[in-house]
Amino acid sequence: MKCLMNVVLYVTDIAKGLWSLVVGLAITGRYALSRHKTVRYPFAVVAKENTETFRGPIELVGLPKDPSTPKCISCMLCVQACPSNCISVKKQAAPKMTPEQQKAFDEAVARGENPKKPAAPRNPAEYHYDFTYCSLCACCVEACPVNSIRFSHELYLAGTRREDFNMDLLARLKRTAAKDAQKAAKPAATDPATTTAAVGAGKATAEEATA
Amino acid sequence: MQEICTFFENIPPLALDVLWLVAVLILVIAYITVCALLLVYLERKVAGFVQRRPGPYEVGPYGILQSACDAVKLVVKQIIKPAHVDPGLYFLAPILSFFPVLLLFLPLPFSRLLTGMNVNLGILLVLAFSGINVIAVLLAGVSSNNKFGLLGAARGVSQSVAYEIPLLLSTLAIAMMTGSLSFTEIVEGQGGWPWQWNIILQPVAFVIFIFSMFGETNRLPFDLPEGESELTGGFHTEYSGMGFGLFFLAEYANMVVVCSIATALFLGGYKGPFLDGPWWFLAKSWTLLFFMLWVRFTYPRIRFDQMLNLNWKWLLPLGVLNLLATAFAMKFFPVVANFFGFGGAA
Amino acid sequence: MAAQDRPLNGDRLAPTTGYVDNPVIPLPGPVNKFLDLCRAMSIWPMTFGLACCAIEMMAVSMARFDMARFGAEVFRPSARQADLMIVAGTVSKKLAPSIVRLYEQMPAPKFVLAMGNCAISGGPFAFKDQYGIVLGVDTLIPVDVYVPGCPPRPEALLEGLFAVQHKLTGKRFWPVPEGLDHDFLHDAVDVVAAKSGGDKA
Repeated sequence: MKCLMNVVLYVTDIAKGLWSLVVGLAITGRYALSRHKTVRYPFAVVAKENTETFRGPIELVGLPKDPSTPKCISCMLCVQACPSNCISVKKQAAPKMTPEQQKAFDEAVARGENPKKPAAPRNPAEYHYDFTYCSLCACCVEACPVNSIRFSHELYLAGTRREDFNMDLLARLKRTAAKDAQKAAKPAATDPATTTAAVGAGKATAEEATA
Repeated sequence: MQEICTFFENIPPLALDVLWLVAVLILVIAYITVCALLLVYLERKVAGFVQRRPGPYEVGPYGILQSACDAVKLVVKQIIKPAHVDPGLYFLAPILSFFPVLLLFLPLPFSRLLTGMNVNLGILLVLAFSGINVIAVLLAGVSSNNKFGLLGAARGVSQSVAYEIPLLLSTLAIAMMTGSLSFTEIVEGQGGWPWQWNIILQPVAFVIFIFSMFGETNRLPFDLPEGESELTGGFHTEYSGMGFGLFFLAEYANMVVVCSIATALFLGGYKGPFLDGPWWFLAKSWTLLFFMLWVRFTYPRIRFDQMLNLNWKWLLPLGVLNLLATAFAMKFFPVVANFFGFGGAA
Repeated sequence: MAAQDRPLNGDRLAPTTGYVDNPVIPLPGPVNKFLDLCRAMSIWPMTFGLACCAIEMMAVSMARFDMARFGAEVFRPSARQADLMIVAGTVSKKLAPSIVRLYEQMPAPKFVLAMGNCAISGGPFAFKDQYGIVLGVDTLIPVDVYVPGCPPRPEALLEGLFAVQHKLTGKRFWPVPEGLDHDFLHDAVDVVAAKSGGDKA
């Protein structure tokens, strides 16, 4: 009796196995007839919700009143905080005094006052950032006391030289500030989330690039 | 017109046969090329659709020029002869893999008249020449001087040799039922409608044939000789450019051959409910090819010992039992065969 | 840690500008252009995912960002059948001889794409007294395209693929999406210095 039971179980096991093959084919067949999940880059891009939380290379934040100058005060906290030594900052030197200022300074010293020399401007002379060492840990973003650093959303970086990614963030800030000013001058006509607009703009720039 | 007829009548028959064979071989090469290009494209498209993505899409409209680009790229790739390989065997292996496949197309019955070589022993010819692929795989692996190649070749040989036997047993059942080893006669013995095909009389043989089909052509889920995630490239690890291209081409041509044989043996060949002709043959064999592609992207790769167990412990005994049952049925139930409109009998 | 703690860079290899060997049969110009077009449309990468960037590389071959559309989903495990070696991940010194060997096994024309900051320069592993990680795969083999990020997005890897196609044929076949800022290449330090080299304040 037990032997018969074993045989029946064995046979049903095999039948179940063979049926699972058919089930597998049905699953893949159903998938084959369902809609594609592809975001056809570069004809389409992913939604803004994905890109806006993406940590791209860092960029400087401009002053509200003067967007092409960074909020940075050259305190070097980001340079110290970075575990990979990506950032290098050079302070600006104090401006030399003109002869009149020098004369006024000397007169004040002679009078016994304690005049201050003209101070260096706070924003840095150079702000270099080597993206190829960065691991996007946000230590610099947290360390900055004036919130002058934030992550950009540059998703599509690729280049043929390693030096392409050793970036001068001051130049980038000037460039993006100029572009934003230009965009603010003409009112934005299209919804940024549509893809057809992206293709139109993209095709235009592609034609300019190849022209 | 008269001159042409007298011209052809005056040629000695041997020369005519040779001319016919040459013409057939050229047509076969053209058919293989078209099939391979189409199969490469279809495989990637099916892979894409099963995974809910479009597959090749940008190269030409809907990606139809993709396989042509791949072919051109493979042809102009640098051919490397690795150091320490056996040069004769290394270059012989892809040639040996591809050229016998041309012979396999000769006895296939594309239609009543469109058969390359209407021999009495069509099945024997096909089974004999499909064994040459085993040598090709072995040569490729052994001459590569590469441990993955050797492992792939060892697996390939044991797999191919193992799965030839159930293939033979299932074809033997059909041949016994029909009384002939010729493809055309087997197709003639079937009818046009699906209930008149041999699959109704020999379902077990069909299932065994399907399993052996995958085993013989090294297609997933039985593609251990080429096991990509385990053995880098298996027996063709050391082949680049056109050498790899020939193996690639031979694999797809083998697929077409076994699917065509299955159509001829089990699915009624070129016969249809109306208008017998090569279109039915092509439709049925391409349905089976599509099924092979579908299976590739459904099942995981089977383990080597499981594969050999499947063959020796399941397919072989089932094949033998099927043969015995066929012999028994043929002796005692000829009425059944006559009822279903089958002419051939022992 | 100050900037002077950065370890010294090794000599970096530059990629060749043309074919590695001269072709056996020299072909006329238009034929070569056609062949380059075919090669660009059918780039077969090699499975060389080493670390986290490999996950993004797998994502590019999956349904959402389909690399198969451009003909590049056929990942060949054998170096002899691959065109493009995507070094995706951290290269350790133990793996270095294998990388060089695999690169030498690839037949011409071959390309290398360094994906992720670890492959480009060692990334977060570049610090003083680093004893186990190779600081940049271009100290071992010449790299054609760099795709930075930690990890880069799958679309960035597609841009890298387009850069390889650009290297083969000299043009880009696909439109530029809105978010792509080609001008970032102009922010490179040496480019800025060259531009403003004349006018020193």
